Amino acid sequence: MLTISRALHDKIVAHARTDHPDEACGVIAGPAGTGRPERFIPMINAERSPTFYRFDSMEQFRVWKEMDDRDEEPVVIYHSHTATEPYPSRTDVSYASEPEAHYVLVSTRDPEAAEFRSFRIVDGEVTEEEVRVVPWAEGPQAPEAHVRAQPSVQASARPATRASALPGGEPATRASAPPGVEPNAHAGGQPGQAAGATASAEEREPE
Amino acid sequence: MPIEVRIPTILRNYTGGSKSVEGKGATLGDLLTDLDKRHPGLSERIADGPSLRRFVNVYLNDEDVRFLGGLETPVHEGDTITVLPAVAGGQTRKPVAGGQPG
Repeated sequence: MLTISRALHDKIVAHARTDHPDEACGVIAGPAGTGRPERFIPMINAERSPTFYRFDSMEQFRVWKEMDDRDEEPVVIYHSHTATEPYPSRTDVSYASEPEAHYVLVSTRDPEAAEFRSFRIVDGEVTEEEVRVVPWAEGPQAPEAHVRAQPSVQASARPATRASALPGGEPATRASAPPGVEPNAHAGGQPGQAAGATASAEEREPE
Repeated sequence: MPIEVRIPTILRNYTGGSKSVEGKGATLGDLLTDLDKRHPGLSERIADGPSLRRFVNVYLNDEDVRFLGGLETPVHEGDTITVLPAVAGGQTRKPVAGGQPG
């Protein structure tokens, strides 16, 4: 499962929309070993293409070195698909080189509603995971940090229609995703509505 | 002082889990050959025969070796080589020259 703040979720979507029709790409770094996405790092797409992305090699070097210096790792690696569904392509899978990362895909094919999904890609196998968008601010010093202890109340409300979304992380290799099944959070440009967020938590928008 | 080679997560199965190994050689190619003696299979993930693999970035200190000399890049004691698999992907297998209609 990917747990991500509303602010970071929206930054990814905004970046994807800004770069459309080119694919957008970037990283969210977090403290090593925690799996917590905290620091948003949009990257240049050196290919500047509507169908392909690649981090610029020197920018990647600087960002990876900086993460190493800060004892961080790439918790989220995101990119957008501009004309197809947000599901890892064969190209995405073949180049996935961070087995611990959450691979987030955003599709900007619909100008009204961006689609946001997350996957693990390990040894060539794709497993979709639930996306939990929470209202707390970025960073461990955020005043809302105590909210993290609250249990998730939205899990039962989400239709669990795919075996691959099970918490046990059962691998589900697919050549193509089943059509029309979208169990995960959709960022439909509705700022007041944090899909999947803990209903009882205070909704604070840090931006 | 040997040459330090920093290994990305995805290649650490060749180095017994180590994130950094050491080697020697006059050029990057020689260095990879040297590393292969102790870490069989590692160099093949970085170079394909006489060329570096396209989606693996290799840096000599702070520079991408593509702009230096590729596998012919001279290396010296005290240098640091960093290997980083390129982060890439997309909706098609390869970049489309000239772009497609939006």
